[in-house]
Amino acid sequence: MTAPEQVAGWDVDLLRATVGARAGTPDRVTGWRVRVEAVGRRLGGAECWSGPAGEVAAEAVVELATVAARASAALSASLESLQVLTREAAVAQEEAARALAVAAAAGLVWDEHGRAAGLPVAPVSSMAPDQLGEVLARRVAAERAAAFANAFAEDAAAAGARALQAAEAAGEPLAGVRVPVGTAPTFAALAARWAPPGPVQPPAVPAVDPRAAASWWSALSAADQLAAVRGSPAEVGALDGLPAWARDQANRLVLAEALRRLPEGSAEHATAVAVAGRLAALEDDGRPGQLLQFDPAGDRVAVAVGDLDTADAVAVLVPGILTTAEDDLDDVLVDALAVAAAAGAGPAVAAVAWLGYRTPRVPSMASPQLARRGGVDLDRALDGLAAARGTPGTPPRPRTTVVAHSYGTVVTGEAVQAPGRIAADALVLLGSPGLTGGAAEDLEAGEVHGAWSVADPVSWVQWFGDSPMDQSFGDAPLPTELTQGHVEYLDPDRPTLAAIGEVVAGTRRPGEEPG
Amino acid sequence: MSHLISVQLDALRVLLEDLVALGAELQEEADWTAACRASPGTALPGPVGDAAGTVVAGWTDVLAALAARCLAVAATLDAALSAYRAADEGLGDQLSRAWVPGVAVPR
Repeated sequence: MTAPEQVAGWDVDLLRATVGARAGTPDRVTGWRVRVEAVGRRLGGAECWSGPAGEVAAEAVVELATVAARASAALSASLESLQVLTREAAVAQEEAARALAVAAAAGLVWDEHGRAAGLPVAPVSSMAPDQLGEVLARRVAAERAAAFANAFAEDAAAAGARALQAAEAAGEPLAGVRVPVGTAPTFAALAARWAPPGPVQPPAVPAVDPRAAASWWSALSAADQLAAVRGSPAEVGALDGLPAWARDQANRLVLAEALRRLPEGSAEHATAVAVAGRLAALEDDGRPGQLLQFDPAGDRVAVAVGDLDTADAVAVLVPGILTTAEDDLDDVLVDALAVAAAAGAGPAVAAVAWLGYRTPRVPSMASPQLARRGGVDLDRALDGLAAARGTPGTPPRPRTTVVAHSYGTVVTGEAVQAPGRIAADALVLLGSPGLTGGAAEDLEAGEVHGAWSVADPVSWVQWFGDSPMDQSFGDAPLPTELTQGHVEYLDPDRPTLAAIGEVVAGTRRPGEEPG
Repeated sequence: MSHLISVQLDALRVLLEDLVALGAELQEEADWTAACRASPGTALPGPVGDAAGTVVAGWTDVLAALAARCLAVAATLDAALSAYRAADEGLGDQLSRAWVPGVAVPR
């Protein structure tokens, strides 16, 4: 069979189906690797297995996850070349089929070099003039057909060569782990190539938006991730879009350093002491927190109770004026725990005490200035939580509810104003002095719930815009009592807390009466 | 030895079961890939199909090696778990033999 005939017979549909069926494999390996990493972290956690044997076991799992990360990258690169192969094979097959069709129509055959042959006899001078014309015309037509057929065949050969090149390129990412024919590579061979022993250089941490940060992180191997946490804890801890476990580990390193280095008596040191104390207390209670953000210089701290990396539902508590990490983290965490408890035993809930903006003091409380800055940060923090749960292998994105109180609702309104939709399913506005974001329907979230009380003057001042007190605001009202003061929306003996729990859990929909 | 050694045997059991499930999952992916091994050669007879078939074989080998390692780690954890339980039972036996039976322990 000549080359054009062989290529024309290629079953490109079968190849396309084969490559298409494997197209999801690299992503599946990435997801698999992320779950192996999670096992490794739990294994390495002191609460599971401490001591030399536990450390060795955790290292074995980290090595497995690291090799899997490299394997996933190699398979992705290989897949790209296989997709090029499929396209080039289709071109080759199509061109070869054309060559065969043109040649067949002209009565030509193919020689052993893959060239159209079998041209009719050339005219000779001894022929009669009428015969000469006919033979000449037939010869000229056949020569033109042969030229076309050969051109198509050459195109087919060129595409076939590119297909071969692509097939060979598809093997290159795996070349380092190739073993003699008839034997399969062992894990040791893969590890020698993809996770060589020795110190891992920490990768540079990019200053990028949450979605890009999440992609960057998910492409790192487990060993690279741990190296990044240890090598650049301040950058990793501050980067929205990374998983909470990584930011927690990084921020705890920053916290430990702050406790060592910051001068005692300074406000920053006092913040560090307060945060360390709250984390220790949570651990003593058997509910370890996640230090999502720690910036003592900016007095910005975020601590989560529950596991943000696996929770079904997330509540982000945004407090109001005069809230500082040093003085109030404890109270906001108590509120976070109360909200998580109110959500019930159904979904796994994580609640964040988000002191991620500098709250106003009395002179600046009537100004939206700090809310504008805080709104941008809140918007980014929410994007980060969503992005961290949007990479392969992570559990589905949780239902996310912002529970904002007082000036925190102003910050939330500003977060809505930030570019892009706010990454929250529901907003809960408690004792709001009004929002610049507009009425409920303008607030981008699918649900807006509000609570106000006649005993809470802040909830009817409307300093910054419309608020849930205004009947035209369009929110779904949460239950309150006539005597409920400004700081009593999350009190366990008031009806609002249980309703907020239902919103967080997703069991209360706008317009529904208390369940 | 100044190490604190603690192990939550039930938590460890859960993790090794996770690893067994993960290993089985990737082995299934490897088997599925292996089933496609001959397809490129069938689809494109000649050197292109041969090269592509080698690539698919390489994919299969990598996936199988990862799956096997995952299962091997799980098996090692299982052995460690059994060893911890056996060691604890052995120590319990030794201690109970060393003590005089019948002496009430104030509680």
